[in-house]
Amino acid sequence: MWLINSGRFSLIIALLFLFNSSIFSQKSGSLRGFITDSTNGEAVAYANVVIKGVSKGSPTNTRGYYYIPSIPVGMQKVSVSIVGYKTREVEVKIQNDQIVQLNVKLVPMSLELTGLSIYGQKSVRENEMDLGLQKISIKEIEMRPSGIESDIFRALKNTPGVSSTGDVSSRYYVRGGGSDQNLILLNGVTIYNPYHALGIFSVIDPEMISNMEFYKGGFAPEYGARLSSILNLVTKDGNSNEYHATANASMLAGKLAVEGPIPDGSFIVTGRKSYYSNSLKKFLRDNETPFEFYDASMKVNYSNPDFLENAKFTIHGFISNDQVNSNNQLKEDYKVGNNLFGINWYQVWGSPLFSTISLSYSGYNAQVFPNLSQAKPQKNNLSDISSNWNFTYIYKDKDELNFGLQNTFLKTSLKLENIFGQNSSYDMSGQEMRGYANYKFYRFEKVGLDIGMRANLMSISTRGPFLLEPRVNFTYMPVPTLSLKAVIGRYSQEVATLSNENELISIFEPWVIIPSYLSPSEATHLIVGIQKYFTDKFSVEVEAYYKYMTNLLEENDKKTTISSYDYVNVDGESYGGEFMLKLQESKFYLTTSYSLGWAYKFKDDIKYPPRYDIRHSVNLLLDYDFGEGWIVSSNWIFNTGMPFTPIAGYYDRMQIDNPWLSDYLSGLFKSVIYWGSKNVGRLPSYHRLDLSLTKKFHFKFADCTLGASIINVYNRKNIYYFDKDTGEKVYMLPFLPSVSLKVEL
Amino acid sequence: MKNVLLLASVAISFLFLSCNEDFSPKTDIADAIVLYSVLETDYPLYGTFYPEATLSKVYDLNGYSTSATDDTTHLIKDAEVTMECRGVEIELSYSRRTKSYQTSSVAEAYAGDAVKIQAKLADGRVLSASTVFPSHADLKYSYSLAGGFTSKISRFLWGNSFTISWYTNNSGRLFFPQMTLYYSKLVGGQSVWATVPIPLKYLNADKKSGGAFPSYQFESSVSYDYAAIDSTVSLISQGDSAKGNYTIAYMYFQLVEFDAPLSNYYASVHGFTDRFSVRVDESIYTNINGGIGIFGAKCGNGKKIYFRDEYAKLFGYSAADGDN
Repeated sequence: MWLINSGRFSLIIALLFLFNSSIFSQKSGSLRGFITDSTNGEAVAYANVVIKGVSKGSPTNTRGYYYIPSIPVGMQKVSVSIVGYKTREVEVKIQNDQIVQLNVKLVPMSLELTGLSIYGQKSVRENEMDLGLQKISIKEIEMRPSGIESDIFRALKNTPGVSSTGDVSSRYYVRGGGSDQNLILLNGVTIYNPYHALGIFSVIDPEMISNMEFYKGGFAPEYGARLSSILNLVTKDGNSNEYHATANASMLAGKLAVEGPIPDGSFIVTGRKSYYSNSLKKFLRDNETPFEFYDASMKVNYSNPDFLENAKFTIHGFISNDQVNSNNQLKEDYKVGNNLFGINWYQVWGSPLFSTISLSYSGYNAQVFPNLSQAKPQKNNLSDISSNWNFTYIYKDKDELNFGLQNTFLKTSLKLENIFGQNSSYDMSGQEMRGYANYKFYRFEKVGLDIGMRANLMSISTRGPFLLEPRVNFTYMPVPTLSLKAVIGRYSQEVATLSNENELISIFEPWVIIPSYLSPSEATHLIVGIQKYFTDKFSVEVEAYYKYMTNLLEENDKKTTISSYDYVNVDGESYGGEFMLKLQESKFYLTTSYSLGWAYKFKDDIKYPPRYDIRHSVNLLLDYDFGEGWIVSSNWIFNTGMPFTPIAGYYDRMQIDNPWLSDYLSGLFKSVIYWGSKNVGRLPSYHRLDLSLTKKFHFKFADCTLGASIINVYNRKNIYYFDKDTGEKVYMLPFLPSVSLKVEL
Repeated sequence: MKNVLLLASVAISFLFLSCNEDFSPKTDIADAIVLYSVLETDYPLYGTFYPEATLSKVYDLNGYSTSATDDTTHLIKDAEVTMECRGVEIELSYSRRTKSYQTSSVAEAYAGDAVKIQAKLADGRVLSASTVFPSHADLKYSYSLAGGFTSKISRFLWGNSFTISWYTNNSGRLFFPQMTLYYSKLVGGQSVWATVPIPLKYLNADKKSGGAFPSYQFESSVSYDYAAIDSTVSLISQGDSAKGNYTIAYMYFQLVEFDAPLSNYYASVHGFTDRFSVRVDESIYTNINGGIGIFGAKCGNGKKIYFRDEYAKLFGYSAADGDN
């Protein structure tokens, strides 16, 4: 079976090579290389490398790599630019049918000059097929008012099309998809539990991240395994020039990062550990909970031309751990952890071929220890061993071919007691193999076209998704400053969390391979968009999307016997539009976004909106540089209220707390809520203003950044939910000031 | 810097604002009927049960607090309620005293018997449900107690705990075990009876505090640490030097078994109990056609475990006469 499928895959690749008739037809030279930061050797992603005098150029990828084909022979002036760095121009001699290597080190602007130059810029490749992709700078995240701990996921929630069920939680939902439909990759390895402390914070410490890409939909065939979004995080390589340490203290956790050179490479080690903080009391239901968490990451890079020319090897690891240890046998304990380890081999070949080959392990384990409490015992283990072979070939006419093979051995184990007290045990394992190829047409000046296919060669779920997942991405530019874009694609997902949407905060969301009696989830994305640059620093983007999802995993709330299935398949649908305006000047940066969306699920012939169906959402982000290292950042958010199930009355429910009683009907009743139709009500609108103020100091041996932040400045009482027993409103985060200090040695 | 101060002043002025708006989470009151009936058979002693049921409707509250209400206007008093068991139809009538539908006499029922209920409302609506009486679980001890509970049980042979098990052929049914110590104390020449529950084990290092008691379970056995039994017996006279005034009578082990609907109902009401999760809606099990509520059955079983004299004397007590 595999031989047949691999034969098909090879045929597709061969056809795509043959399809490009211009491979051998032009005579010119090519230029390639890596762009790095001169101070620390870190790769500079998304820098524009332009051949001046001819309209040719390429942005760097997340590894800082670029490749520009078909450059006229002779001396050429190359310009490398990106905001935050001094533009550098280099002369290079292009030779006929030769690939010239040009690595460029960019010098960062001085602290004072950098100011707000922290945001992305227009790509040199104007016909880029990047609909649905958000490139978010880590500095952008660090600058945003973050509350007690800077958090990547909280920053994502400010992106149009991304919603949440409350500011207590860091979980996010993309364009009407569930939170388990978001794939989070750290150096290409899946993180299954990306949250600390019941979802309050992400496990990703922004300090360790170099760059990130966020796909809200329509992602390329290289990506799969989830229905809604991809968050691709790349950690820093570490300073290859000198030893360097950064200490950071917030009101919740202390952090330390150490980096420096090693022979033919660099390393970085980061760590974060929570300490007891009253701040958590704002977030938790049981605010005496003795929560502890830590995370740590490491990365070692090695590149030695004597060993292997144009190659780079990376070893990286990440661990995170959360636990509640009550020291009381009558209370339950809780533990959850991630373990990631990976080896990557990046190779620039003699031909215009760039490859990334990786081998990785990702483990996840979570357990609820009921001890002698009334909580239910629950345990979930997952192990994911993956190898990925990804290749990029760039043709002389700028067209690009991406292809690869991704192989995963996945094992999940779950033991729990369901809501009806019945024991469930799911142990599943399997091999998943995906092949993909996509051909990007960059050759046309006004048109960009990406045609691709992802093939599900082997499936881990019993029923398996459909074999082929076609994806097409199209860009048309009637004028250089205006892009019209469209994407259509099929996506599938074979692992999911067994979560209950009625739980706003959940202690246990186990990952399982889709049970054998259910079909894997599948989705179709259709997205169209317009991007208009009025100037290089003033742009507007408008996108509209439609997403249809089938076979989503949902708890079977009609399970009444031990033989009934615990979970059922439901369908979902979402559609909407998004608007985003970006304006950057030397002293201020403004982002305004508005999104309008509808999300529905279909269950038992009932159509209802999930809690993350946010109809209107407005986000205003304004940063202002007052000079002398003072920067103020403000963020105002407005959302239509979340759907909720309204109270359709009360009834007297029989209490059977004492089963030894012989007569339950004589007065043992309690008034409880009779719920109306699911999620037909809407909570009041949510809005909030956050402010932060940072001041940078430069001392002789250290750079310091002192930050003060206020969440919910005007103390808006945003309703989180209603207490079922008292009817009292439970609010989200109140006025919450915090401070932080960062010292860089 | 002036701009910073200006902006900070504006920010601080927001502190005095609070945006709180009136909002009601209520919608139109539903027209739904609630039926409850939990039957208990005294099989194998007599093989009877007492038919009883309540009928009410969904109502509104003044405010949102669901603390106990004395409002009885939502009770339905004019329905025709009948039960059927062993081919006999039983008519129930409304009692103002108990606020429930009942009969004046018991009805016949044995383990495994099917029973049905039907409630016909004045407006023509009909609610119905059915269930089966659970079987009677026979109790077995891990150690033969001929002659009574003794201190001479070999821990090497029989372990550190006293296990009581029972046979069941019905999976998915809940059991509720409980053990109680019955004892008496001479006060002013009069014997005063008292009871104290016996935990499965004591959690704290002193072995006398932090008792863990059995809860609901699907398993068909329960184990009590011998140390927990000893500690409980010892604790009844804690601080009292006149140990001779105490007589330990017996331990009474009770076991209640729910039928499937009642088990599901109990589990759905109590199925969400950790300290962290926040669940907004809830789905409560019902087996009532045409309404909500529960129609279920249960049966109980109990056994007295007497003490041998030598065991009582270990604590300075005397043992009551008993027959194991």
